[in-house]
Amino acid sequence: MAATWRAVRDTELYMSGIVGSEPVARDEAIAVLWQQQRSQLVRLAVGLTGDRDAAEEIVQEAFAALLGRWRFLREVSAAQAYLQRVVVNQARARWRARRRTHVVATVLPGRREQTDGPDVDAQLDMLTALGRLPWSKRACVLLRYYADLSEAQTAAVLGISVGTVKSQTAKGLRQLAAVIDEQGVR
Amino acid sequence: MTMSPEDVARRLRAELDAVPVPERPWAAVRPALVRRRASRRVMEAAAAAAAVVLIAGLSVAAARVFGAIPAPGAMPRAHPPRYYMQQSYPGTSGPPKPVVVRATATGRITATVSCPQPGTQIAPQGIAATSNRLFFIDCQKIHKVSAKYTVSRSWLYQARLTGSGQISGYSLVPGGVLGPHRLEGIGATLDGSEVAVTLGPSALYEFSSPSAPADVLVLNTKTGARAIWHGGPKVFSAGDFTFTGNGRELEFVGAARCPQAKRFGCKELRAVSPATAGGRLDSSRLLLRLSALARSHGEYIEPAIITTGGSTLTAAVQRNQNSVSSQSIWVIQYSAATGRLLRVLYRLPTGNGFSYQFLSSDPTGRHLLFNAGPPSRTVNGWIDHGQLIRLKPANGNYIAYETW
Repeated sequence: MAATWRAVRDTELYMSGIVGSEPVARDEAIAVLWQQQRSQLVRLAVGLTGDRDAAEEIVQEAFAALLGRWRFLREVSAAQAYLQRVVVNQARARWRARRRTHVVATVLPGRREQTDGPDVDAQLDMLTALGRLPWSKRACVLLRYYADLSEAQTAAVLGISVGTVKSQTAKGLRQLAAVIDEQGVR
Repeated sequence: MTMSPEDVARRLRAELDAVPVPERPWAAVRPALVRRRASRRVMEAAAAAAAVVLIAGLSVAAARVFGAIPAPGAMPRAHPPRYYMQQSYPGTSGPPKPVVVRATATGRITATVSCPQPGTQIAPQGIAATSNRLFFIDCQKIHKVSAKYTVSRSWLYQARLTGSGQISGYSLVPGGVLGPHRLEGIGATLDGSEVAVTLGPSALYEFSSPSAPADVLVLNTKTGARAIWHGGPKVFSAGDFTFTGNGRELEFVGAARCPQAKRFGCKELRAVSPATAGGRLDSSRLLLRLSALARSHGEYIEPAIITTGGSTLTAAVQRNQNSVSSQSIWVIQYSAATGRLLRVLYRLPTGNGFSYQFLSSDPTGRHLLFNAGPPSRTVNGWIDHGQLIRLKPANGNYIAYETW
């Protein structure tokens, strides 16, 4: 029986674990992703769920999942796409679970919260308007115009076709505009 | 509609960007996330175990109802060795995973292979098996010296695999204190009387080169007698060993200096005889250049294994078909004398790109273990008459090496 050779990449993969009780590369990469991506992911989740606490929770779940998934991803771009997928999936699950009990409280016109910050009313109105969109349209609009994903990337995250992304995005924007207009928001 | 889609999109971005997100440092959040992940894995494992019991029960019930019995033609015709050793990458955190012995048929772990010396671990692909269940392992102690990880000491141990897949008795091979060297290759005679090991530089991330060649140590495992073949500027490393001619000759795949492959050299099938004489790798006999096996510009020969007797050469060959999106990896047997293609043992389409982990064999060379596949999705199994029979785990991504 003879042994085969290994290239540098394989040695590094193997030895990084042998000499690393220092998973430096993974933790450093995820720490950078956390710093760079977390806020946007939380806001994306806020747009998807209308709930800031849930959004924080969802993003933390996504990074917890990334900790275990990192070794299969190996690249930052793949990690970013993974995080977006997890956030969207988690948000969808929560939205469906909460919809029946919370829809009345979040989308009725005129509901307000007491919070600090500039133009909070406009923010809440936008979130309320988003909440009026069916899930698919809302997700397409947010991924395309907030997360700045391409049609193909959006399709990959949502698991739908590019054609569906195009139509759902266009219809979602029109419907959002109509809701905003209805609420008298400018 | 009074707002255009562009206005809506612009407004959407502005309002969402204004949503305050309190700062939370990663260092503060990470411990909680790790705990959350650990508790989820416990729950997933419990759920998976329950699912397996349920599915097994349903399968048995279905078999009873429908009388399902596997057709004789569906069973593998080969009889591979009962156990294989599996070395995994350690993943991204935690201690290195131990080398385990698994039953070929079921994947059940029957034993763990460990280095007897505390604080040491088995070198990558540092396992050589023989035909009588004796096996050898290269154990390394690694230290960090001036920000560089180096092998400070290494040893060659032997042990035996029992009929039930247990390990009996580790012992240091006579003459098996190898010193501060990184292992670049290991092989043994069928009866385990001799072992060849390639001793590279001590630094983990440095590899042999024409200016810093490796040495090949041929060790008599009974007497401890040593013979050293020194690497040189022309042939600076060696691996994939096969002892032929009743152990008198040592064939290997040598790394030869060439302009096309400056870092790892061009691969050449070479031989030294008698194996126990010692000398210079530069003076080894050239049998075949592996580049001659490539039939076209789009082929790449992965490091090869050599069957016993030295008459055939089996290699994994990466081929591009008509386009880069239709690549495949072939396992092909060639004549070691002429390079003539003898037979295709297995073909694995990989699509756009490929990932190759290893090709290894049992001591007889009859049974091949193979781990390759599309990028980031390798399959792990053994080749049986043109089919790949899956081993456990089926996902081969982080399996560093396997051997029978």
